[in-house]
Amino acid sequence: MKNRYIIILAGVLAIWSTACEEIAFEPQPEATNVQVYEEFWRVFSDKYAMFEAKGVNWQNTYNVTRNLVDNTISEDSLFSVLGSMTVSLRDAHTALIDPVNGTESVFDIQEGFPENLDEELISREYLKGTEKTLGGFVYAMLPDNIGYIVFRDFQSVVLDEELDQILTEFKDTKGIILDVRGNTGGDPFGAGKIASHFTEQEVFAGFERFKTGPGATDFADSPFTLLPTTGVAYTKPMAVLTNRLCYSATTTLLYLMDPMLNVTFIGGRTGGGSGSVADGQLINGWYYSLSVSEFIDARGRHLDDGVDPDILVDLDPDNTNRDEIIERALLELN
Amino acid sequence: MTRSILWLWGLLLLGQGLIAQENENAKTGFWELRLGIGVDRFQDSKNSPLKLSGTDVPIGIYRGRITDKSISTGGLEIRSSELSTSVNEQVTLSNGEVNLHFEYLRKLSAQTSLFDTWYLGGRVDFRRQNLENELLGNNSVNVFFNTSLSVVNRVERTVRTLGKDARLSYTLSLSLLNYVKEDNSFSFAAPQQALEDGVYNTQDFEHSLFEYGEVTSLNSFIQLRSRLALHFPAKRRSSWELAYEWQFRNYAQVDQLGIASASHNLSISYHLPKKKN
Repeated sequence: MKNRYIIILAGVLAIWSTACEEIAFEPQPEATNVQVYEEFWRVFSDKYAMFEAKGVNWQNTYNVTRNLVDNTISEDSLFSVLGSMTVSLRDAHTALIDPVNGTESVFDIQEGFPENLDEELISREYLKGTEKTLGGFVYAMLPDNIGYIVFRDFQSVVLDEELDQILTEFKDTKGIILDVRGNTGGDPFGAGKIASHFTEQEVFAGFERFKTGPGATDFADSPFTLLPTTGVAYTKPMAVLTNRLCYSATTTLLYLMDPMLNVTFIGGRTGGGSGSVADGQLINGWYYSLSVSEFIDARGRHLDDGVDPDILVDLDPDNTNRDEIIERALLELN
Repeated sequence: MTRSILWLWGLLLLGQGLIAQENENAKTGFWELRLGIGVDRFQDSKNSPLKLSGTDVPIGIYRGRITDKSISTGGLEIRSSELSTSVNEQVTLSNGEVNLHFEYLRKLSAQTSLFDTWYLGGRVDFRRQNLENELLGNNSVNVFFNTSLSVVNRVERTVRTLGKDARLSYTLSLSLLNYVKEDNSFSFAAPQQALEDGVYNTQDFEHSLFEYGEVTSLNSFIQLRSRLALHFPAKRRSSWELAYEWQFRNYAQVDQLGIASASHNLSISYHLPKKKN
């Protein structure tokens, strides 16, 4: 009799616990074409931060593309539809990847813009083998006592000690050219570290507007005031060289330095990528990334489609012995 | 926020004080080693509708004291599992959990025909869970931390099993007050509260375990533990315990987009007596 009570008790507990669980767990959809489409559209609707800035009406996108998808179309066709939706945002932080087939859909920021960078020309005509390398930095002295620092990649960790050493070597220069053309980004914390060495004061750079919930108005702003380095600071005139591939963390560096009065931007239009990136997997395993914030700079500019520098200069493709952007920078600093 | 956390810590210290006071009348101290096997389930609705599950092998080490009037325990549990979904083999998640707890139960005078001994008490948990999807970039790792103050009820009775008098116990705990922090927000790899407070930046944003979380009650965080155990005496005052334990958590930092997790475990424990006064 007593054992029967115990068996009943154990059974009740097991049923009770499982029932409690199922209330909390949401229903799981099947990975059909329609469900994948609906999830993709909803994720972007909930989390993408720049529909307004990009002038994209996501509901209209749904209205136009939804009837292109049913459960009979091929996987390639579904990828094509979702990929076109991705590219329509004109945001290279936003991508769709099928890891099994190795296919990717992402906006090409370079298309329609000049490259404005010739590494071989720079090496031959300006560095001439005199350059030094420290971490991700390459630096050399140019004629007329102008320092030249090249930083092409934010994937490498930026150390204050590296900047301290370079700027100590350049402390008696007339000015510095910081060449970040072709730098498509990486770790944005490195951008803050670099920028902090070019000011002795706090610099209000603008604010980052994050998506904080699924609602259309669920945003929160994080103002960003750059703090100066405690190491070596350089506050003489500077020229920062840009092109279309200045993207993501490089855009961070540019908006942090934009309010500095000693800095002039020279070169081509930048690429944008001002937002922070999140990523995830759809129910069929496809990988996506998207911008979940937007940076609005101290001038109130939306940066994500890129901005023109202070002095717009393109390389002359017919003149392979001269980098017009570096030449213009030398002119400005002399 | 800070005041709430200090309050929580105060309660913990009070609990420890009670345990220490009880030690003066300690009857039996014990060490317990536990090994289990079970299933973990997980769903984070703000990121994916997929339900993930996987096999779990929890281990635990505990220290406790039993007197005529109370049971007090403290313990460390570690568990890990590889979570996957039936829908798609490409989506996997590595799950690792560490839980430190202190529990104090006071014997009640109540008795029923089904259970001869009743306890009521409290429990404090410090739990950290790491979830990792190595295919992802910025959102590849999410760290979830909660400190919870729970009310605990335990009932016991003696049953004749396998020719021995074994003690059957059932323990249920429900969290009442929690400090909860998730490293990832609704959208980004930074705490939700930091974004809502407007303090995130890409120069010097850092955060400790006790920053940018939220103090919650049952309204937005539920943690339940249910444990059915059978305790067999063995040689030299040691004992074995077979148990089934169910744990369940449900939390939502954004309305309607909750994290649900659950585990079902069968375990075997060895109790080693430390001393007898």
